[in-house]
Amino acid sequence: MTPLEHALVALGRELELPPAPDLVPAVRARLEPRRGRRPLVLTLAAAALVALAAALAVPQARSTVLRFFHLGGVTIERVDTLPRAEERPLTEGLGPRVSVADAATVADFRPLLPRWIDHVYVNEGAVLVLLRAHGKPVMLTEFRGGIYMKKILGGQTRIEQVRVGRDYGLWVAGARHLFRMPSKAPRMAGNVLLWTHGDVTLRLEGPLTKAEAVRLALSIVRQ
Amino acid sequence: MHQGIAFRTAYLVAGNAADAEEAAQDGFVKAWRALGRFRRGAPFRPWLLQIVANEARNRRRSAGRRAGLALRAANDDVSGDAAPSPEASLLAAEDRTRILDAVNELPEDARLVVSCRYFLGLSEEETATALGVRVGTVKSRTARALDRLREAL
Repeated sequence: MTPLEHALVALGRELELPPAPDLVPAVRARLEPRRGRRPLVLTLAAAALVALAAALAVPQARSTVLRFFHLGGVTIERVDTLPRAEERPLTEGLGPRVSVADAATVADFRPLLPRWIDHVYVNEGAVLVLLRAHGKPVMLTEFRGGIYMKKILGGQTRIEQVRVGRDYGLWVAGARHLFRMPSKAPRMAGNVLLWTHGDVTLRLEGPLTKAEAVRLALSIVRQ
Repeated sequence: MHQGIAFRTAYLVAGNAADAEEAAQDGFVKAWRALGRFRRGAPFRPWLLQIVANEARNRRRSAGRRAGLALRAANDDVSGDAAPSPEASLLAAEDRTRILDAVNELPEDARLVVSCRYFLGLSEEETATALGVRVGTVKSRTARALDRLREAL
Protein backbone atom coordinates (compact mmCIF):
# COMPACT_ATOMS: atom_id res chain seq x y z
CA MET A 1 0.00 0.00 0.00
CA THR A 2 1.09 3.56 -0.68
CA PRO A 3 1.23 6.14 2.14
CA LEU A 4 -2.04 7.63 0.87
CA GLU A 5 -3.74 4.24 1.05
CA HIS A 6 -2.44 3.72 4.59
CA ALA A 7 -3.79 7.16 5.47
CA LEU A 8 -7.22 6.25 4.04
CA VAL A 9 -7.32 3.04 6.09
CA ALA A 10 -6.42 5.04 9.20
CA LEU A 11 -9.05 7.62 8.32
CA GLY A 12 -11.68 4.87 8.03
CA ARG A 13 -11.09 3.99 11.69
CA GLU A 14 -11.89 7.52 12.73
CA LEU A 15 -15.04 8.15 10.75
CA GLU A 16 -18.16 8.92 12.65
CA LEU A 17 -20.35 5.96 11.75
CA PRO A 18 -23.48 5.30 13.78
CA PRO A 19 -23.54 1.98 15.63
CA ALA A 20 -25.12 -0.86 13.68
CA PRO A 21 -28.63 -1.60 14.95
CA ASP A 22 -29.84 -5.12 15.66
CA LEU A 23 -31.63 -5.96 12.42
CA VAL A 24 -32.70 -9.47 13.34
CA PRO A 25 -36.06 -8.67 15.04
CA ALA A 26 -37.22 -6.48 12.17
CA VAL A 27 -36.12 -8.91 9.48
CA ARG A 28 -37.66 -11.79 11.40
CA ALA A 29 -40.97 -9.96 11.70
CA ARG A 30 -41.08 -9.23 7.99
CA LEU A 31 -40.21 -12.77 7.00
CA GLU A 32 -42.46 -14.48 9.49
CA PRO A 33 -45.54 -14.81 7.25
CA ARG A 34 -43.45 -16.61 4.64
CA ARG A 35 -42.11 -19.17 7.06
CA GLY A 36 -42.60 -22.69 5.83
CA ARG A 37 -42.98 -21.73 2.19
CA ARG A 38 -39.36 -22.27 1.28
CA PRO A 39 -37.93 -25.09 3.35
CA LEU A 40 -35.62 -26.06 0.49
CA VAL A 41 -33.80 -22.77 0.19
CA LEU A 42 -33.33 -22.68 3.93
CA THR A 43 -30.69 -25.33 3.53
CA LEU A 44 -28.83 -23.45 0.80
CA ALA A 45 -27.28 -20.76 2.92
CA ALA A 46 -27.96 -21.95 6.41
CA ALA A 47 -24.47 -21.15 7.59
CA ALA A 48 -24.49 -17.64 6.19
CA LEU A 49 -27.93 -16.80 7.50
CA VAL A 50 -27.70 -18.57 10.80
CA ALA A 51 -28.94 -15.58 12.73
CA LEU A 52 -32.00 -15.20 10.56
CA ALA A 53 -32.70 -18.88 10.62
CA ALA A 54 -32.57 -18.93 14.40
CA ALA A 55 -34.80 -15.93 14.56
CA LEU A 56 -37.35 -17.53 12.28
CA ALA A 57 -37.71 -20.40 14.67
CA VAL A 58 -39.34 -18.09 17.19
CA PRO A 59 -43.10 -18.13 16.65
CA GLN A 60 -44.44 -14.63 16.28
CA ALA A 61 -47.21 -13.33 14.09
CA ARG A 62 -46.71 -9.73 13.00
CA SER A 63 -47.92 -9.67 9.48
CA THR A 64 -48.88 -6.02 9.66
CA VAL A 65 -45.43 -4.74 10.61
CA LEU A 66 -43.82 -2.93 7.68
CA ARG A 67 -40.64 -1.59 9.30
CA PHE A 68 -38.76 -1.78 12.57
CA PHE A 69 -36.45 0.85 13.98
CA HIS A 70 -34.54 0.75 17.22
CA LEU A 71 -33.17 3.68 19.09
CA GLY A 72 -31.72 3.01 22.51
CA GLY A 73 -34.41 1.24 24.49
CA VAL A 74 -37.24 2.10 22.11
CA THR A 75 -38.67 -0.06 19.36
CA ILE A 76 -40.55 1.78 16.65
CA GLU A 77 -42.78 -0.15 14.34
CA ARG A 78 -44.31 1.14 11.14
CA VAL A 79 -47.58 -0.71 10.51
CA ASP A 80 -50.19 -0.62 7.80
CA THR A 81 -53.09 -0.31 10.24
CA LEU A 82 -52.66 1.50 13.52
CA PRO A 83 -54.17 -0.44 16.45
CA ARG A 84 -56.74 1.37 18.56
CA ALA A 85 -55.67 3.04 21.78
CA GLU A 86 -57.17 5.53 24.18
CA GLU A 87 -56.43 9.23 24.26
CA ARG A 88 -55.23 9.84 27.81
CA PRO A 89 -53.54 12.84 29.37
CA LEU A 90 -49.75 12.89 29.56
CA THR A 91 -49.96 13.42 33.28
CA GLU A 92 -51.88 10.23 34.02
CA GLY A 93 -50.19 7.48 36.04
CA LEU A 94 -46.89 9.23 36.57
CA GLY A 95 -45.94 7.20 39.63
CA PRO A 96 -44.59 8.40 42.96
CA ARG A 97 -42.99 11.88 43.15
CA VAL A 98 -39.52 11.70 44.69
CA SER A 99 -36.36 13.76 45.01
CA VAL A 100 -33.81 13.59 42.20
CA ALA A 101 -31.39 11.78 44.50
CA ASP A 102 -34.00 9.15 45.38
CA ALA A 103 -34.92 8.76 41.72
CA ALA A 104 -31.28 8.10 40.85
CA THR A 105 -31.18 5.38 43.50
CA VAL A 106 -34.43 3.76 42.42
CA ALA A 107 -33.75 3.94 38.68
CA ASP A 108 -30.05 3.09 39.12
CA PHE A 109 -28.76 5.93 36.95
CA ARG A 110 -28.32 9.66 37.27
CA PRO A 111 -30.98 11.31 35.12
CA LEU A 112 -30.16 14.31 32.94
CA LEU A 113 -32.42 17.11 34.08
CA PRO A 114 -33.00 20.82 33.66
CA ARG A 115 -31.19 22.63 36.46
CA TRP A 116 -34.32 23.87 38.22
CA ILE A 117 -35.86 20.43 38.64
CA ASP A 118 -35.69 19.06 42.17
CA HIS A 119 -38.44 16.44 42.15
CA VAL A 120 -39.31 13.85 39.53
CA TYR A 121 -41.55 10.83 39.14
CA VAL A 122 -40.33 7.26 38.95
CA ASN A 123 -42.25 4.58 37.18
CA GLU A 124 -41.08 1.06 36.30
CA GLY A 125 -37.40 2.01 36.30
CA ALA A 126 -37.94 5.18 34.26
CA VAL A 127 -37.58 8.74 35.51
CA LEU A 128 -40.34 11.09 34.39
CA VAL A 129 -40.28 14.86 34.54
CA LEU A 130 -43.20 17.15 33.87
CA LEU A 131 -42.21 20.35 32.05
CA ARG A 132 -44.37 22.97 30.37
CA ALA A 133 -44.35 24.62 26.96
CA HIS A 134 -46.96 26.92 25.46
CA GLY A 135 -48.94 26.43 28.69
CA LYS A 136 -49.23 22.70 28.11
CA PRO A 137 -47.43 19.74 29.68
CA VAL A 138 -44.29 18.29 28.14
CA MET A 139 -43.14 14.94 29.40
CA LEU A 140 -39.47 14.04 29.64
CA THR A 141 -38.90 10.33 30.17
CA GLU A 142 -35.49 8.77 30.75
CA PHE A 143 -34.43 5.20 31.28
CA ARG A 144 -31.34 3.10 30.94
CA GLY A 145 -30.83 -0.32 29.42
CA GLY A 146 -32.43 -2.47 26.73
CA ILE A 147 -35.75 -2.38 24.95
CA TYR A 148 -38.26 -0.77 27.25
CA MET A 149 -40.95 1.02 25.31
CA LYS A 150 -42.61 0.69 21.96
CA LYS A 151 -44.05 3.17 19.49
CA ILE A 152 -46.33 2.07 16.69
CA LEU A 153 -46.74 4.41 13.74
CA GLY A 154 -49.29 4.49 10.97
CA GLY A 155 -48.61 5.84 7.52
CA GLN A 156 -49.39 9.47 8.40
CA THR A 157 -46.78 9.79 11.12
CA ARG A 158 -43.42 11.12 9.96
CA ILE A 159 -40.10 9.96 11.33
CA GLU A 160 -36.78 11.60 10.65
CA GLN A 161 -33.27 11.47 11.97
CA VAL A 162 -32.04 14.39 14.08
CA ARG A 163 -28.89 15.29 16.00
CA VAL A 164 -28.98 16.48 19.57
CA GLY A 165 -25.48 17.85 19.85
CA ARG A 166 -23.31 14.80 19.32
CA ASP A 167 -26.14 12.38 20.04
CA TYR A 168 -28.38 10.73 17.47
CA GLY A 169 -32.12 10.94 17.71
CA LEU A 170 -35.41 10.54 15.90
CA TRP A 171 -38.19 13.07 15.51
CA VAL A 172 -41.64 11.49 15.32
CA ALA A 173 -44.36 13.92 14.25
CA GLY A 174 -47.50 14.34 12.22
CA ALA A 175 -50.45 12.05 12.92
CA ARG A 176 -50.69 10.74 16.46
CA HIS A 177 -49.12 7.38 17.09
CA LEU A 178 -49.49 4.62 19.63
CA PHE A 179 -47.17 4.56 22.63
CA ARG A 180 -46.72 1.70 25.02
CA MET A 181 -44.73 1.18 28.20
CA PRO A 182 -44.49 -2.16 30.00
CA SER A 183 -47.53 -3.13 32.08
CA LYS A 184 -49.46 -0.06 30.96
CA ALA A 185 -52.30 0.16 28.50
CA PRO A 186 -51.21 1.81 25.25
CA ARG A 187 -52.20 5.41 24.63
CA MET A 188 -52.00 7.78 21.71
CA ALA A 189 -49.06 10.18 21.64
CA GLY A 190 -48.20 13.36 19.74
CA ASN A 191 -44.88 14.81 18.60
CA VAL A 192 -41.95 13.05 20.22
CA LEU A 193 -38.20 13.51 20.19
CA LEU A 194 -36.24 10.38 21.03
CA TRP A 195 -32.52 10.35 21.51
CA THR A 196 -29.80 8.48 23.34
CA HIS A 197 -27.07 9.89 25.50
CA GLY A 198 -24.59 7.22 26.51
CA ASP A 199 -26.65 4.26 27.68
CA VAL A 200 -29.62 6.44 28.61
CA THR A 201 -32.61 6.79 26.29
CA LEU A 202 -34.51 10.06 26.54
CA ARG A 203 -37.95 10.94 25.24
CA LEU A 204 -39.66 14.32 25.03
CA GLU A 205 -43.36 14.41 24.26
CA GLY A 206 -45.49 17.50 24.00
CA PRO A 207 -46.74 20.35 21.82
CA LEU A 208 -43.28 21.22 20.50
CA THR A 209 -41.89 21.86 17.05
CA LYS A 210 -38.79 19.91 16.06
CA ALA A 211 -36.57 22.95 16.62
CA GLU A 212 -38.08 23.58 20.06
CA ALA A 213 -37.71 19.94 21.06
CA VAL A 214 -34.07 19.78 19.96
CA ARG A 215 -33.31 23.07 21.73
CA LEU A 216 -34.89 21.76 24.93
CA ALA A 217 -33.04 18.46 24.58
CA LEU A 218 -29.74 20.28 24.16
CA SER A 219 -30.42 22.33 27.28
CA ILE A 220 -31.01 19.08 29.16
CA VAL A 221 -27.92 17.16 28.06
CA ARG A 222 -25.65 20.23 28.46
CA GLN A 223 -26.54 20.83 32.12
CA MET B 1 -23.46 -12.30 11.32
CA HIS B 2 -23.26 -9.74 8.49
CA GLN B 3 -25.31 -7.02 10.13
CA GLY B 4 -22.43 -4.69 10.94
CA ILE B 5 -20.83 -4.62 7.51
CA ALA B 6 -24.24 -4.49 5.81
CA PHE B 7 -25.29 -1.48 7.86
CA ARG B 8 -21.96 0.34 7.38
CA THR B 9 -22.08 -0.27 3.63
CA ALA B 10 -25.62 1.07 3.50
CA TYR B 11 -24.62 4.08 5.59
CA LEU B 12 -21.71 4.98 3.33
CA VAL B 13 -23.95 4.74 0.28
CA ALA B 14 -27.14 6.30 1.66
CA GLY B 15 -25.50 8.91 3.85
CA ASN B 16 -27.76 8.72 6.89
CA ALA B 17 -28.52 6.16 9.58
CA ALA B 18 -32.29 5.91 9.12
CA ASP B 19 -32.03 5.14 5.40
CA ALA B 20 -29.12 2.80 6.09
CA GLU B 21 -31.13 0.81 8.61
CA GLU B 22 -34.05 0.54 6.21
CA ALA B 23 -31.77 -0.42 3.35
CA ALA B 24 -30.02 -3.08 5.42
CA GLN B 25 -33.37 -4.46 6.59
CA ASP B 26 -34.72 -4.56 3.07
CA GLY B 27 -31.47 -6.06 1.84
CA PHE B 28 -31.64 -8.95 4.30
CA VAL B 29 -35.29 -9.60 3.48
CA LYS B 30 -34.65 -9.54 -0.28
CA ALA B 31 -31.57 -11.73 0.13
CA TRP B 32 -33.62 -14.24 2.04
CA ARG B 33 -36.31 -14.28 -0.61
CA ALA B 34 -33.75 -14.53 -3.39
CA LEU B 35 -31.78 -17.38 -1.84
CA GLY B 36 -32.98 -19.65 -4.61
CA ARG B 37 -30.93 -17.57 -7.06
CA PHE B 38 -27.82 -17.57 -4.90
CA ARG B 39 -25.03 -19.52 -6.58
CA ARG B 40 -24.04 -22.38 -4.32
CA GLY B 41 -20.39 -22.13 -3.29
CA ALA B 42 -20.11 -18.42 -4.13
CA PRO B 43 -19.10 -16.03 -1.32
CA PHE B 44 -22.22 -14.90 0.48
CA ARG B 45 -21.07 -11.57 1.90
CA PRO B 46 -20.51 -9.67 -1.37
CA TRP B 47 -23.80 -10.97 -2.73
CA LEU B 48 -25.62 -9.68 0.33
CA LEU B 49 -23.75 -6.37 0.21
CA GLN B 50 -24.72 -5.90 -3.42
CA ILE B 51 -28.39 -6.18 -2.50
CA VAL B 52 -27.98 -3.86 0.48
CA ALA B 53 -25.98 -1.32 -1.55
CA ASN B 54 -28.69 -1.30 -4.23
CA GLU B 55 -31.33 -0.59 -1.61
CA ALA B 56 -29.20 2.19 -0.16
CA ARG B 57 -28.58 3.71 -3.60
CA ASN B 58 -32.31 3.80 -4.30
CA ARG B 59 -32.90 5.69 -1.07
CA ARG B 60 -30.08 8.12 -1.70
CA ARG B 61 -31.42 8.93 -5.18
CA SER B 62 -34.83 9.75 -3.77
CA ALA B 63 -33.37 11.75 -0.88
CA GLY B 64 -31.13 13.99 -3.02
CA ARG B 65 -27.58 14.91 -2.15
CA ARG B 66 -26.07 13.04 0.76
CA ALA B 67 -24.24 14.63 3.66
CA GLY B 68 -20.47 14.26 3.68
CA LEU B 69 -18.72 11.81 5.96
CA ALA B 70 -17.53 13.24 9.23
CA LEU B 71 -14.78 12.46 11.69
CA ARG B 72 -15.50 11.21 15.13
CA ALA B 73 -14.89 13.84 17.80
CA ALA B 74 -11.28 13.86 18.94
CA ASN B 75 -11.96 12.66 22.47
CA ASP B 76 -14.18 9.75 21.45
CA ASP B 77 -12.86 6.22 21.70
CA VAL B 78 -11.78 4.74 18.41
CA SER B 79 -13.63 1.46 17.86
CA GLY B 80 -13.04 0.51 21.46
CA ASP B 81 -9.29 0.22 20.91
CA ALA B 82 -7.19 1.05 23.92
CA ALA B 83 -4.45 2.54 21.75
CA PRO B 84 -4.55 4.13 18.33
CA SER B 85 -3.44 2.00 15.40
CA PRO B 86 0.01 2.65 13.90
CA GLU B 87 -1.67 4.21 10.88
CA ALA B 88 -3.90 6.41 13.02
CA SER B 89 -1.00 7.65 15.09
CA LEU B 90 0.72 8.77 11.88
CA LEU B 91 -2.22 10.88 10.85
CA ALA B 92 -2.36 14.32 12.35
CA ALA B 93 -5.79 15.80 12.93
CA GLU B 94 -5.20 18.36 10.21
CA ASP B 95 -4.27 15.64 7.71
CA ARG B 96 -7.38 13.65 8.58
CA THR B 97 -9.62 16.61 7.92
CA ARG B 98 -7.89 17.46 4.63
CA ILE B 99 -8.09 13.89 3.36
CA LEU B 100 -11.71 13.50 4.38
CA ASP B 101 -12.64 16.78 2.71
CA ALA B 102 -10.93 15.55 -0.44
CA VAL B 103 -12.79 12.20 -0.28
CA ASN B 104 -16.10 13.99 0.19
CA GLU B 105 -15.36 16.05 -2.93
CA LEU B 106 -14.78 12.97 -5.09
CA PRO B 107 -17.40 12.01 -7.67
CA GLU B 108 -19.90 9.56 -6.24
CA ASP B 109 -18.50 6.48 -8.04
CA ALA B 110 -14.97 7.22 -6.89
CA ARG B 111 -16.05 7.98 -3.33
CA LEU B 112 -17.93 4.71 -3.08
CA VAL B 113 -14.98 2.69 -4.32
CA VAL B 114 -12.65 4.41 -1.86
CA SER B 115 -15.18 3.90 0.95
CA CYS B 116 -15.58 0.19 0.23
CA ARG B 117 -11.89 -0.52 -0.28
CA TYR B 118 -10.31 1.53 2.49
CA PHE B 119 -13.04 2.45 5.00
CA LEU B 120 -14.87 -0.89 5.00
CA GLY B 121 -11.85 -3.02 4.15
CA LEU B 122 -13.58 -4.90 1.32
CA SER B 123 -11.45 -6.69 -1.24
CA GLU B 124 -11.51 -5.63 -4.89
CA GLU B 125 -13.74 -8.60 -5.68
CA GLU B 126 -16.13 -7.82 -2.82
CA THR B 127 -16.22 -4.15 -3.80
CA ALA B 128 -16.99 -5.09 -7.39
CA THR B 129 -19.88 -7.33 -6.39
CA ALA B 130 -21.25 -4.88 -3.84
CA LEU B 131 -21.22 -2.00 -6.33
CA GLY B 132 -22.37 -4.13 -9.24
CA VAL B 133 -19.32 -3.44 -11.43
CA ARG B 134 -16.39 -5.48 -12.74
CA VAL B 135 -13.19 -5.96 -10.81
CA GLY B 136 -11.36 -4.09 -13.56
CA THR B 137 -13.70 -1.14 -13.04
CA VAL B 138 -12.94 -1.17 -9.34
CA LYS B 139 -9.22 -1.13 -10.10
CA SER B 140 -9.47 1.74 -12.56
CA ARG B 141 -11.85 3.77 -10.38
CA THR B 142 -9.58 3.25 -7.40
CA ALA B 143 -6.51 4.37 -9.34
CA ARG B 144 -8.30 7.46 -10.64
CA ALA B 145 -9.66 8.27 -7.19
CA LEU B 146 -6.21 8.02 -5.64
CA ASP B 147 -4.80 10.26 -8.39
CA ARG B 148 -7.50 12.84 -7.69
CA LEU B 149 -6.82 12.68 -3.97
CA ARG B 150 -3.08 13.14 -4.50
CA GLU B 151 -3.80 16.17 -6.68
CA ALA B 152 -6.19 17.60 -4.11
CA LEU B 153 -3.76 17.08 -1.26
